[in-house]
Amino acid sequence: MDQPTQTAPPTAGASKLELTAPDPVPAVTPDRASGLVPVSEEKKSKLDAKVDQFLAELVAQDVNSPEFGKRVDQITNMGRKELMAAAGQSNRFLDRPVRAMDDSSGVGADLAELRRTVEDLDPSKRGKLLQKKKLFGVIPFGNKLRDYFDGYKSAQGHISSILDRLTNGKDELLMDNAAIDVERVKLWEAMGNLEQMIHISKTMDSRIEEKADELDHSDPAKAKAIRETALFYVRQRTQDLLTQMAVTVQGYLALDLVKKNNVELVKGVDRASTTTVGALRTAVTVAQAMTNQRLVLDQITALNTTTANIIEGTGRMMRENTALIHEQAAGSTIPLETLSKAFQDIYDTMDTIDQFKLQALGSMKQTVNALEGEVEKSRGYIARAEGQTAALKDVRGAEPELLSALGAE
Amino acid sequence: MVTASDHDAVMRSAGAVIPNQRARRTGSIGERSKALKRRKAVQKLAVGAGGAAAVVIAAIVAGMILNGIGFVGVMIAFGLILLAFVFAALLPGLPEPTPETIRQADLKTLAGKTEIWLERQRPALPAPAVTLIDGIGIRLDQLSPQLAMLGENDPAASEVRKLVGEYLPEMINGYRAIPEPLRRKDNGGSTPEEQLIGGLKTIDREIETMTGQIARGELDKLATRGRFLELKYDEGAADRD
Repeated sequence: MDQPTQTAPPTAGASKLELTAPDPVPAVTPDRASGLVPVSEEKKSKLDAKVDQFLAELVAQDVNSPEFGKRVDQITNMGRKELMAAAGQSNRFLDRPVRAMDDSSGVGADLAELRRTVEDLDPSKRGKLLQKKKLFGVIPFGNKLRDYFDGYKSAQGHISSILDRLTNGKDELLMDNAAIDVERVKLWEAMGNLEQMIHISKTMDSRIEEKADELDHSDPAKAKAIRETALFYVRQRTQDLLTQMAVTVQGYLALDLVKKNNVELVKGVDRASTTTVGALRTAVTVAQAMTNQRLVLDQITALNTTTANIIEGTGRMMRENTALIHEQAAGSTIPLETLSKAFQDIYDTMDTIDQFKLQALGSMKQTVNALEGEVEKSRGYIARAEGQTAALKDVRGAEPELLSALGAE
Repeated sequence: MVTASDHDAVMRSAGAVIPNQRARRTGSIGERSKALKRRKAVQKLAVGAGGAAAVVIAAIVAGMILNGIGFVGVMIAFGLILLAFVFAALLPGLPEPTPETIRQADLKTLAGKTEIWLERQRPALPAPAVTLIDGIGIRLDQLSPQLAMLGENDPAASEVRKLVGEYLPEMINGYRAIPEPLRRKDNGGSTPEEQLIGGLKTIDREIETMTGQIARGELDKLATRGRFLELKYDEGAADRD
């Protein structure tokens, strides 16, 4: 038989697995934070009308009257609800355990265990499975190989339970991503409301300034009072809103980073399962061809049906391989090479995953650091906002917020 | 001739009388307080029935030992059975909730106890406040099953406890501490009555918001489940955002 001996038949993972770690999320500065979520012109004009009405009422009051103070209080309280809502959500990312990245539990641990188990079965680590005959002429050739293939039978239960756990781990990753999707929808909404508040705040700033300039001639005392109270608080609040917006945008992007990582990891887990099952199937075929031994891996076969979609591609590849292997003479080294290649595929996959995890961890760390810094900064004014609200409530019960985003009403 | 202000005064005094009557007519402002009261009534009935059963057993035993207890014996037994029910009926009813007991109530009975406390306050409150109290009763009913799901140390639980166990009684007691004639006198822009109503409205709204917030977690969980199924079984869903 004149088979080409130079190449082993292609195995399951013919296409190269590539896992790319997403780039870290850079720190978002407050001055670049706004403008991500668009506010419609219609909404803007509604908000502007609100601001105009509020200012008209403010200017109409005597600067020393309690009514004026009440209106200024409303400015300091402006957007509190939006701020609190956004603040409550944007640090969720930090609570989210990076479960897949942890080597001591979950997917990481299962992958490591799979690798150890698979290494025990690797024909290239067993050395001279075929040369035994030459060394000990007395010992029948088949036995060494038979022993080797018997190892599969005892390992299959272990492997299938690891693969099972990996499938569960994959489900957990998908569940995480589902939760992230839901959270991102909420964050988007929170950002929309913040954006509206920022619009109100900025409009208020410019209008108050205009009003104060007007009043400079007619009523300088009032102009001064408005500048010192209303304008001061508006500017402070604008800064708070922008800072929170920056944190929220960053949290939003960071969640996307986690999601992308999970997607890549799911790919990795899929590929690791596929290559493992592929190698085991190759072993079945090789055993059949070389020793005429029917290697029955029931548990792995059972697993095939449950993970049918991942294995689909492998199955097709394997059928082609089977024919090839059987064509090659028993005793030739090609079937064993094929098997070694199948194991190499598993190692390649795992190496890719490990490399990916290293990169992803780096990105993650940078993102977490950046976000933690921003969240820390935002804590200060959130405490301030809380204090103000508590004070206001003490004075005269909760005041309905006149100035709130349209979307939050 | 009746002037407009006279008319107002008449309406106001009528309004002050109407809630008192209604308070007497409808006992409970919410399902939770009703359930608490019902449970107490069942407990009393059980005490009475237990006593009656004890008397009957005693009568049977006595009859067996004495070889019949005779007409007088039967009559005495009947008398004792009646006495058992009378005793049960006279047992102390539900302990009157006070702001202190409400604050210490466990989450399951918090809403019910507050409702009972509010029911007791109704006769002393002006008509619009009574309507608001009825509304708060309904809100508390809605809140109650959600509260039962929370842990005792949940921040949301302590928020609710503060609102319902502290702010609400403080508001109403504060109002009741004001002498009757002053309640409708202007005090810094608004009358105490208006301030009470404003406060109750805020509390009503806040209970609703809290109910929504507690439900938020469950809503998210469901949305996540749905999204998970999409990601897992619906090809291409991962690309759609």
